[in-house]
Amino acid sequence: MLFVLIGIIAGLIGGMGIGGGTILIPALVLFTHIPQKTAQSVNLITFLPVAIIALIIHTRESRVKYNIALFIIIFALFGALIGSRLAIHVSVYWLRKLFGIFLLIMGIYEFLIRDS
Amino acid sequence: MFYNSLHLQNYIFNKSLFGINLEKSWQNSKGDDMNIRNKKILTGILGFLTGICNGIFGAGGGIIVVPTLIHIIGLNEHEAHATALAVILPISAVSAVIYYRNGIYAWDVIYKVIIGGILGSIIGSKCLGAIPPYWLRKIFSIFMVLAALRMIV
Repeated sequence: MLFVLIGIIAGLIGGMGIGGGTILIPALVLFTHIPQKTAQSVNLITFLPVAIIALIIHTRESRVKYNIALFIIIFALFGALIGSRLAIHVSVYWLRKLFGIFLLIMGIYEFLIRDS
Repeated sequence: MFYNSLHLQNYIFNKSLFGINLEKSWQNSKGDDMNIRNKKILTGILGFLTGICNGIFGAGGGIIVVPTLIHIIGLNEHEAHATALAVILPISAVSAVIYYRNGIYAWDVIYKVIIGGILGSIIGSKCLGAIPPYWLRKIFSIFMVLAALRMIV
């Protein structure tokens, strides 16, 4: 039930343009027994069906600039291959600390900069 | 998709892919003080960082790619969010496969979170406007900072 509740909150936040994952991952790590890496995997996998549906809707309203997306994807895929291998090899302890630093920067960014 | 490296090079540094005029979409973007080649190099680097970030943290690629699309490419906010989704979806899929193949997954959690997530987005779309998004963002950014400190310490 706790997992469903965390999902509801992440879904609510995700709809507002703040990444749902930045809420989902810390919530899973801090309020349940889920370790950092598993929480990240849960976020990546749950993101897929939601993103597919959203992408179909956006494509119909022709908001997606696919030529630019394709250009960025070529570079981003290399990053993703390196990044996820790093995540596998870093210890859960340090990954949690690193994620905390990342979340701190994101939180400050959201609070101070986003509106301007 | 790219049948040789020359074709890939052509795509990245020159004009067209399967007849799509790329140059046009880059020229149409605002911020014309930066030349197209520099814009592409910067966008490529930021795209690479988006992948790294999304891979290592399993989230948050949007925080880099959305500002890139707005400030460097010159898309409006709606287009930027939609296009960012098209970028993050395939890279998240690749990352998810790598996590999965290394035995990092939990289906019993995933299906519960998906059910919750669907409910949350329905509630969100019904209640849109009940609380001003400005204040919601402020409140949740405070939660993010608190959670971050709890994770670091």
